[in-house]
Amino acid sequence: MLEINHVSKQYSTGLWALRDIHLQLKPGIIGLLGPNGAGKSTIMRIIATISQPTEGTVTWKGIDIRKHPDELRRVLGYLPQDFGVYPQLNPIEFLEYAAALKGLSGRNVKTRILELLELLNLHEARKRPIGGFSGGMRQRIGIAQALLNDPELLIIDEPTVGLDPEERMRFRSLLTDLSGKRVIIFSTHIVSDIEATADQIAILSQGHLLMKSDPSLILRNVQGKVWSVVIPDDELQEARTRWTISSTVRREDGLQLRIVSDRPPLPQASELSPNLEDAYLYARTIQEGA
Amino acid sequence: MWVHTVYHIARADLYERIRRFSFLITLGLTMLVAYFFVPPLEAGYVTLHMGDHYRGIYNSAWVGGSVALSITMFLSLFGFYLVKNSILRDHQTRVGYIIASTTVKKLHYLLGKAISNFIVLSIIVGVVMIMALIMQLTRGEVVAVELWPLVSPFLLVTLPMMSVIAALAVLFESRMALIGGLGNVIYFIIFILFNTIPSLTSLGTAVVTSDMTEEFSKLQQGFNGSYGIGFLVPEVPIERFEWQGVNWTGELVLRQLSIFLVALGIVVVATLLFRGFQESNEKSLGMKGKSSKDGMDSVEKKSNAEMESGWDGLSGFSQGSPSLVRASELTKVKIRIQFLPLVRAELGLMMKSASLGWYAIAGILSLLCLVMPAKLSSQWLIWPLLWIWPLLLWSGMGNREARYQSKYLVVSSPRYVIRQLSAVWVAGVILTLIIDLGMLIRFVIEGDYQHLILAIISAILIPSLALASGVLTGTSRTFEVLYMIIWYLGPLNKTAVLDFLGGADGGLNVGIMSLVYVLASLGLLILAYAFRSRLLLHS
Repeated sequence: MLEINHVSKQYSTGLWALRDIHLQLKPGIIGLLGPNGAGKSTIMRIIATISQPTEGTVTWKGIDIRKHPDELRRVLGYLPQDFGVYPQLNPIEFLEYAAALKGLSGRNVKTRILELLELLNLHEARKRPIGGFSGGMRQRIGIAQALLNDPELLIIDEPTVGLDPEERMRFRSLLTDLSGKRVIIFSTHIVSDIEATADQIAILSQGHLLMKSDPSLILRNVQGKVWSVVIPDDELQEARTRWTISSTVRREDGLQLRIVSDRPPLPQASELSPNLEDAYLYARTIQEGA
Repeated sequence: MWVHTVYHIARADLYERIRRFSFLITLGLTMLVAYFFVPPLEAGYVTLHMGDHYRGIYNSAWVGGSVALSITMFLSLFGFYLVKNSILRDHQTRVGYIIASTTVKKLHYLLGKAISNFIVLSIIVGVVMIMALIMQLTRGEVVAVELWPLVSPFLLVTLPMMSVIAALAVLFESRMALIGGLGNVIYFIIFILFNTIPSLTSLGTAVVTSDMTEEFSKLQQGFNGSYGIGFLVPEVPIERFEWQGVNWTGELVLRQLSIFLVALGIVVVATLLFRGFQESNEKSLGMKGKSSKDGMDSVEKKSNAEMESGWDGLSGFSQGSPSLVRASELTKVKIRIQFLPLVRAELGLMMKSASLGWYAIAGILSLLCLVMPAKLSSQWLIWPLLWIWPLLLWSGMGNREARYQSKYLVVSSPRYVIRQLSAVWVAGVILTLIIDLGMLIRFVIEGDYQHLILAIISAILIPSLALASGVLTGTSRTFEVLYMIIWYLGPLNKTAVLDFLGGADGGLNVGIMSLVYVLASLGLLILAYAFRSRLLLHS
């Protein structure tokens, strides 16, 4: 459905933001995972027709979106990481404006807007200027505008930034409910967001695609490579230089470390079941070592 | 300690400005302007003249003095608008929040900003000073360069005046109401007053002009002391006299330097008015995530808090509550990519930015134009006033996406360059015609079809100018300043070539004017469309 063929992006400063990204996406939720500066937003902007690749092509149902961007824009819902709203408009007015931009018309538009406001719990605030909204409420306005045209391709960049834990949880439910026949791409650096929703995971680092797979396969990669050890508090610094530490927990007898390593880090280390955070760290460690 | 703080505030602000490419363009344009400040004899115009048609021989004193006076006047207007954005930038970038959380004093903060403004203007003055030297040698009327007479007017007249402009820019950013277009308009009015009221005109620059007129009166018996600054075309051939420059006595130097104290005083006043970066102030800027009105009442805050605490609706939806909407069951909508709904949406967005009071005054002005004879409306300035009233509505055209960071919405929509920009333009033309409707009907009643045609074409021209300015510069300020000058010189002062309403005596032929304005509109629109694609390229 969506094919990203050997896409690279170089900025005018000479910096390569993406190198030879190759992905084929089918309906479902794909989570883009990676540290800040990995190229997640860049690839999303390219897919959203806002930026153009230096090399490679992106096709939607076989159509090159660089040559025919409107073919994709008709069915695109896009929520960037940093987005602005018109503060003097209320949610209905803003969404009506967004609908007009997207070329939506007819009686159903108003109905859909009201439903979206209901869905995102903004119904009560529908007549108040957006300028007075909190960060979380504005984020929900952004989500609403992305869903206005019932998009076949939904791109959401760091959607959970600014949302509290409960809001994040509800957002995950929303994504799951939306998935089906559409392609949903969402980026985050919060592994648990992806773990809960994504059918496919793509890990990006320094502009390179480290891996793309379904969560179970990614977890299998790191099976038998996650360990638990307890060390004295004052050895943490040294431990950081020796091992890839996934997490630390303070205990009475010292620090319990969760370590990702091909071999047991210490003789007394006990093996743990891996999670996506471990898999992500493992993939990055391999790339850094390569 | 406080010197260290002020120094770093000024330095950071200065670096932020001068490291932008636009600053290089500004310097380039300034050099071009400086070139025209020293015209050759055959150019037929002067920038400073005594009496009707005398100017000084281009020795170091005259070149230094005349260019210093010209650049002082030039930067008093454009320099102000150039530097009046440093506090706004702190609001927009949210650096203001960081500043608000520190112990930095308002006086120190504003002093740092004023110093940064002053240095920016001083760099421009420095470039012009070098250009003045080059122009003296280029014109070659007197090739001997005398450094002090050349540079002293810049150092002792222009720079002190620039300190006042720098401080005024800070003053106009100290209150939320003055930061935007309203402040720009008020400053323009003040600038016009200072340049039209004789007792105020030479304030700060009198030390040079009085010396020139004094010197000239010795040569010309019966000289009434009149002189002019600006691009002036004398009706008789230009003649020359020799001026050796100001004899800078200690008293004169001190008097000029005391202008810096005036600037300091203005910064102190700004400090008293400045309310810092509290959230309630931020909100009135209408910025991203902020309210357009001053503060929220407690009920609104409570409501926000309640809604932030969780998506109650979603909670229900995720549990499958039948009374709530499900994301997968939303009403389907059709994509038709129609143009008129977008025009309606753009018009609504444009009109939303004005208050009810604004509409009331626009309505009254339009009604007066309808009921009064057209000639009387022009004489009583009601008709020209109606053409400055929508300034802040026009100035938002083409730059709203940049100002509100909403370009994602536009750029990811179908055919955004042609479709959205055309919709904005059509909305701007419709709005202008609605506002002018009273006068348009009046013209029809009086059978004055020439002015009717001009008014309709102007309703196309001005939104085109606004759109092009907005798209090209990404800010509303360019159009505000440009249009205020055009409006002041044209419809208000009846300068024939700029009077797009056709009220000037001996004005140009309506047919020619109409053709020129239509072609100008077309050119501006092409420019706007061409530059709009930058939205994509800069992503």
